[in-house]
Amino acid sequence: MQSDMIIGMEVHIQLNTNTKLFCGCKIENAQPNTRTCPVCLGHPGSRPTLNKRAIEYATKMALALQSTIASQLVFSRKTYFYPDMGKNYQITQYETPLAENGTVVLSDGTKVRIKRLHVEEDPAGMVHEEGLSLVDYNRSGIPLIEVVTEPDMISPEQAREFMKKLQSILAYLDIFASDGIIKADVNVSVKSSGFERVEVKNVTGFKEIERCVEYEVKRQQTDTVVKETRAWNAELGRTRSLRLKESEEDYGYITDPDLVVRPIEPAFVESIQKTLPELPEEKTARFVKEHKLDAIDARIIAAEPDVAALYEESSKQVSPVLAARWVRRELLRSLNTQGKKLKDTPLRAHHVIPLFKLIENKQITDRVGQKLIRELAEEPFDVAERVQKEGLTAVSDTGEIGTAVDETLSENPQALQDFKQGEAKAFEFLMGQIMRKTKGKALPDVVRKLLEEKIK
Amino acid sequence: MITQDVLDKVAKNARLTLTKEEAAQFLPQLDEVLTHFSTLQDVDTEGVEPSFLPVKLSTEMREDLPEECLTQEEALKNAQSKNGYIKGPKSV
Amino acid sequence: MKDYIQKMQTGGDIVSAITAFVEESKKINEDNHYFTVITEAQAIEQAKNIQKQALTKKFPLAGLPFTVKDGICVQGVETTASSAILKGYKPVFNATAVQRMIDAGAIFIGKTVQDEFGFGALGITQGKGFQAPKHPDDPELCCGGSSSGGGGFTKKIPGAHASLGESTGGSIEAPAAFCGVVGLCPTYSRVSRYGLLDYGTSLDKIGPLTKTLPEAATILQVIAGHDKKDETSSQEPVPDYAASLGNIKGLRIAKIKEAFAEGVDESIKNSVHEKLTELEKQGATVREVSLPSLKEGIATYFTIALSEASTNLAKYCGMRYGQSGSMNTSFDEYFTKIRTHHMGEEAKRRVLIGTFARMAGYRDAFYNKALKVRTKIIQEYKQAFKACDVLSSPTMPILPPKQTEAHNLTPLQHLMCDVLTVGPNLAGLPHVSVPAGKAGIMFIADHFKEEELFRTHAE
Repeated sequence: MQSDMIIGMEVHIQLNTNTKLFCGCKIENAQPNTRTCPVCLGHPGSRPTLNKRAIEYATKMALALQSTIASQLVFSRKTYFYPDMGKNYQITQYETPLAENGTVVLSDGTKVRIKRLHVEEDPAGMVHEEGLSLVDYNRSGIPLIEVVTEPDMISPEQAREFMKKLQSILAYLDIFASDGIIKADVNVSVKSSGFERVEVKNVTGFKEIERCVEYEVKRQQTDTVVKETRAWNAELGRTRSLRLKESEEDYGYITDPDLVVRPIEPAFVESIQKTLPELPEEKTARFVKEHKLDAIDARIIAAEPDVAALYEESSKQVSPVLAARWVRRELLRSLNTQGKKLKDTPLRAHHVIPLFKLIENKQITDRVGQKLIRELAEEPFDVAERVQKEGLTAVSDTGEIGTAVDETLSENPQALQDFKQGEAKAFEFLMGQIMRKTKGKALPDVVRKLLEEKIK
Repeated sequence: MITQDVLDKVAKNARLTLTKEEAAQFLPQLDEVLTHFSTLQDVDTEGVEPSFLPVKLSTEMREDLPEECLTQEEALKNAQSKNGYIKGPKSV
Repeated sequence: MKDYIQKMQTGGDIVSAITAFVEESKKINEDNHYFTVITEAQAIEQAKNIQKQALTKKFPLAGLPFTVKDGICVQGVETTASSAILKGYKPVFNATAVQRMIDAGAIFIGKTVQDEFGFGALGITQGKGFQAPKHPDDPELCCGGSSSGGGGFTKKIPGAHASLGESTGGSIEAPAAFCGVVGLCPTYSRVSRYGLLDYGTSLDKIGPLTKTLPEAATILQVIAGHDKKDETSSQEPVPDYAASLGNIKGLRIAKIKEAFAEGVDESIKNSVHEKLTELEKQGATVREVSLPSLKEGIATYFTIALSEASTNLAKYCGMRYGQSGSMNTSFDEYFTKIRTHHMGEEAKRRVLIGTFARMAGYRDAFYNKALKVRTKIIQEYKQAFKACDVLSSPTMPILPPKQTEAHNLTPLQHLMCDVLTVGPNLAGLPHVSVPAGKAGIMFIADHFKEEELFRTHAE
């Protein structure tokens, strides 16, 4: 079956090493041109020296994407002239990328093939001023990996999921700083144009990549499409033609003779393989199989390493299904409403486990549980202490609840009458009133039973 | 070996403008040189690996440890600069 | 040099010696144009400093005046590779070789003129605004290129001195042979290239120009060895070079048959043969070996060197350092304008050839092919060294021509002057040119076997 569109991506991801790819300059935010040296400034006579950690990180990613690692580490010079290029050539990998032939599997089973993964240096940063470029070389030489897919995605949703998967893997590998650069060149071709290839260059950030794909698909489905390169304007939320007046630059690649061609030993690859954590895909499968979790719960929990870790610790002390339900439906929702990521909060498993236990033992009601988890998401505290201090323990004493039932019935004679005339809704109304009277602490099952006894 | 069109493209890639006279002078010179270089194509290199460097070297990669950077003053010393940035021509 | 250093190590007056040396250098430079800059004040300051330190520390090169090819970085001193496009560039760091000379107590005197970016075998193709140096014996003749100022000055200046040169395809050996001094080009990777303005990155080597072979050994001892700033610098241990000096007995010399063929000046062949006969008398053996792949040398060498050079020179565009101009134009226009205006004719020609050789559609037939032929040439040399310690040939095929005549050579004829030196340079083999009559004789050894070259020294 032919799809309506095909989407491929070239994603550039900044690695969170301490220093740059080819020099010892520290990577950090700073005043312009204060994190530079002759190497990243492109001064004559300076030489690149390869950062070992960058290669380790890139290899990690390549293995996580199930790609085949090359037998040699080779860097090339890609020559083109641009004000942000320190040497007017970029050191990148050309004929021999670090890895090839990887895969990312989407939730619907679609296999997105990874054509290649290579390592390269980022150019400098630029500020445009009237008639000038102002260049900051602090960014020059920051290590990037480029992940190139085949055009295997067939909807913006798949493209979004692919990016989410990449993000998730990067988080597990801990090789991408949250303030790091991620940018993509997006290729979109739609059926109505006969799959004319359109490339949108330099889309920065996960969100923008998603927006850009959606926009470009819509545009192509309604507009006349020509084979071209376009640029994404994030402010306007649209792409525009770059109208390259010249043919593609001839980069005239040569192997960079400043860098030694190194064998990539199987022992090195194995040692990296050993450091790989359990990845989201495997984690999801294990949660479903061993913890009997719902597949969607499992996938959502496994997507973020901190969430998965919190869940796993909890699942050792309470029922996994209960823990999963509360993590996904309540905790993640609360965090989401507050616009937070778990990893950016001080909330840890030891905060939520006592809560889950109280819920499991019916020592607090779900409603109290929900309230407490919202508060935990705002700022962690000792749950047992709070429950005791605020007297939030569930009430199961029939005498106490009976009094509340009696009071409610005498305060709401109309509702009682409605019920007797056959209005089922009135029963739920009365339930609600009793729960309110007990500040949500009464166990709903006990309330229901007592109320039924009284009025039926 | 090399035509005027190719020479134009090469010059453009190299960011050099050739005057008419220069182009007229360079074309036969480059042609002679490249014709000589093209004799390499007759050499049998079946199964021969390229030598990017003439000697085998096995240098360890650099550890990811920060080293001292230049001061902003040193970085800008040789350049036209403004507000701590190095000036360049228009990029768009 | 040895006596001079010894004197300075034991309380000699370094400041006076350097003051006199600088005066003499300035005088020589007036007529001969060997320098792009003489750093008089800096030299005397450094001399004072070393003088003081020498009281408590033994410097291996105490007070030795040295000069540096323009294309090697010296901190704070204008470094242009004799190209107008780098006018005004003052590096913020020292090349490692320079730093090692300074650390050894040598005194930096100035930068010597070269062919622009190393592009020239004869010493007549400096960048715009630079003057060609004059031959030390006859001002009409060429000094040889591209470390031409270093070669000429080494010959002309009396007394202890060493010059740091650089060879890509013969740029140390050619001026040595033409000017009548010793030019030593070490194994590729033996001396750090950190701070060397690149010509052909996989071919460039820094080495000394000196009056004698033992002096060359002394300098190499100081500058050789791994440098973590250059990952293509070798970690092989550096042996004691002086120990092998003059150890001629049993030295197996093989003269390269192809290097004595037609086209090589007869008087040069005779001088070289005389020198070989002399060495035989002192206990060396001489036989002949054929290296047929060398006929591919020029094409292979220049294809690789110029491909690399055309990427190395891309950075010179009027930003960050060197020449600049009004930037209020599009970047392509600006870069093109600066490069076109400030690069010399030979540099442009070589950049064009190199850009062509690595262009899509031609890369396989030129650049990629040459890298493979290079492998064959290396293998041929390696084979030859199974049966000899050093190979020998004339250094240059011609005697120094008149500068006026040299300008009439076609570009290909100019490239062809390197015919005998490109081989060992391509293969990264250590080699040295020493005076033989009015010419230079070249000895070539296997990788990292510089000591075999020093064995050829006859007291």
